[in-house]
Amino acid sequence: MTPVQDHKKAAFLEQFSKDEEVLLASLPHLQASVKDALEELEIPHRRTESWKYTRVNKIINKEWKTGSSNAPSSNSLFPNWEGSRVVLVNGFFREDLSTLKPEDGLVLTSMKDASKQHGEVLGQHCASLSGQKEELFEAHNLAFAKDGLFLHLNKNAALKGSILLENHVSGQRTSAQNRNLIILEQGAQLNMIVAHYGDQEDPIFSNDLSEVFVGENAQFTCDLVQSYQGEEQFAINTIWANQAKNSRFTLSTSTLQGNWVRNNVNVRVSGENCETNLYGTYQLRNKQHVDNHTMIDHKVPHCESNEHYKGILYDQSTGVFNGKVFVREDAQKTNAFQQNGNIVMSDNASMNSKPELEIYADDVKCSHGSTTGQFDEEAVFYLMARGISEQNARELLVKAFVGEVLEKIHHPEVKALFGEEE
Amino acid sequence: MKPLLSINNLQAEVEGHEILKGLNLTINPGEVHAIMGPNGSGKSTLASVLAGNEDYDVTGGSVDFDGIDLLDIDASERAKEGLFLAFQYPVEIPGVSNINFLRAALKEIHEHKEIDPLTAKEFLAKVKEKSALVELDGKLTNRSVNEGFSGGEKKRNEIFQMAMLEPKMAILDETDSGLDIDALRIVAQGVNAMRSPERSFLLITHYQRLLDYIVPDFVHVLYKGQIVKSGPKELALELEEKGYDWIKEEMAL
Ligand SMILES: Nc1ncnc2c1ncn2[C@@H]1O[C@H](COP(=O)(O)OP(=O)(O)OP(=O)(O)O)[C@@H](O)[C@H]1O
Ligand SMILES: [Mg+2]
Repeated sequence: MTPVQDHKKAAFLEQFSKDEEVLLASLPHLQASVKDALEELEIPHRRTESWKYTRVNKIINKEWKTGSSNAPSSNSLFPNWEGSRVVLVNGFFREDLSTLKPEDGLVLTSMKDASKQHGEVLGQHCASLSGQKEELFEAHNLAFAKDGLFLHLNKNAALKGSILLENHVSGQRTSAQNRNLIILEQGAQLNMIVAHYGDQEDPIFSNDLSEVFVGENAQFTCDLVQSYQGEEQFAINTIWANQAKNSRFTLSTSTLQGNWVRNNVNVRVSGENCETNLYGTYQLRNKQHVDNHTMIDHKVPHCESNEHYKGILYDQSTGVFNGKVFVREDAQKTNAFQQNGNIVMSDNASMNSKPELEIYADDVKCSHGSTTGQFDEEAVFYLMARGISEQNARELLVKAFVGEVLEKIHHPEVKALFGEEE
Repeated sequence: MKPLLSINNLQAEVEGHEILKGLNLTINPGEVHAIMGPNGSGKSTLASVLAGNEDYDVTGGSVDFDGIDLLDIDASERAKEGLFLAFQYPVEIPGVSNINFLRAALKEIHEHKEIDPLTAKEFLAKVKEKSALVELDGKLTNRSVNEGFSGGEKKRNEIFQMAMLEPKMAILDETDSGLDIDALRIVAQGVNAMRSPERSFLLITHYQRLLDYIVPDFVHVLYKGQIVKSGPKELALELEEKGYDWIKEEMAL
């Protein structure tokens, strides 16, 4: 690291309070390694492979202050939601805004409370998956996160309804870093919608991290929705998951809006007979930039993973897809499928797509593909020649293109955001 | 009688190449016209220009369609006014179901005509009736538009769509090519069933055979971007027999 970078990093980190309230204060076994990581890890730059196409200078060089838990939370994309609703504002659990329906076998509370009441479980799991030793922003999250959602499902607990988790970040130059911990014991089932809102036009920096433990025979299904409205809004969303045998992990990520979004999804498939499904869509306009980095690590035999991301880039938008799939030596009989498809609607938009399959086992079925192309104008004309207006024709074709992924979204309430009939 | 379509000195080019060089053609309601002509003479270009494909630049002339300046409106509006083109090469559109897009098209057409939309039941009944007309397999109507259809199925699908949309004027661009004998008969039956005193057809074809099934009122020869000869249906027989050389020679004189 150059002295300039060193200085920049120090100035950036200086802004975040290290007071008693950080979760790390109750995790003494992690403190030393986090401190080291923050000292040693570089600010990602052009030559940092995993950040090649996403610049972080705008985050590092700006001033940020820790957001207040009392900041206003704006409108919801799910106003008519009748199930459990968990609201986090600037990374803080807001019990007053949440509606929780008690269910058998469910422990749902703030990370702050969990660090007191469920200290042992939290201590065992927290930061045991995540990559704080390799990634500056993960170390940053662990160092400064003060709260988040703690959700623990007991053995064989299956909730009646889905849980909606809504994250609001607002306030001028606000930074929020929350940390969620989701644990599904053996045979448990959980369906979630996780929504992220960059409220109003405030410049914000959100660095959100979740760890998900999917136990034996457990099933986790989550639809993630991102809507960051403002221009100077930066969001890093990181998910780490571990799957025990016979489990299923299904995640869809829909970026509805976002000027600077980085999604990291990392799944370790540690038990046999697992199913892993990752889906994603993005429709980017103006100067929006969305970067989806995914990693699926097949360590054991007889597992299957499906990954399908599709996006449309208009105007001067830029997109990144990087999908790593590891099939380790022992992971025989793995079926791994990965596909990324993009339509670039303008000469000024661009997409960087890189599937990365690393296979060390010999008896496997794996395929990956990436396509980036233009809009099919012939198809537009065909539809118009049947009486469909140009605008409707284009909408129909856009929907058809991302439709393959939209139909994988679990919750009709999320599908409805795309104008799909429920 | 007021013509349904009158094309006046139409000139059009694509990427700077002049293809249509002053074309004249008048079609009255209820008439069936056939256009024949050598490869590359401009037949599909004419169809595309009439349907409103913007890859082609109209550089001169005018087209009146039932009292409307056709060149002034876009492809979708032309279809809404009752013009239909059965494509020589129908495109495949993955992810858009045949049925859904026809429903959307009919809805827009009905809105435009200010008539009540079809109920779901009426629509499905119509699909059933019209697909039976061209013996299009019910499975195909539910699939993505033309995706994975055989050549013949694509052509039948075009006629099925025509039957659904009930245009005033249909242009069929080589709908007969690639069809087996049975399919040809079925497609022709579909067209004949739709013939009426108000509806006109423009058939683009290379083969007299189609015209045995769909008997035209007039046959025209398109050559180098112009209609160079017109005649009764017997002209098609003559062309089949003698080819185009004699016309080229006549032209040279
Ligand atoms: N998009 C295009 N770009 C360049 N040239 C074109 C284009 N479309 C048509 N042409 C040219 O215009 C001329 C007329 O083509 P057109 O398709 O209208 O012929 P056609 O009479 O339909 O022929 P065929 O009987 O083979 O179907 C041809 O020379 C063709 O190469
Ligand atoms: Mg042609």
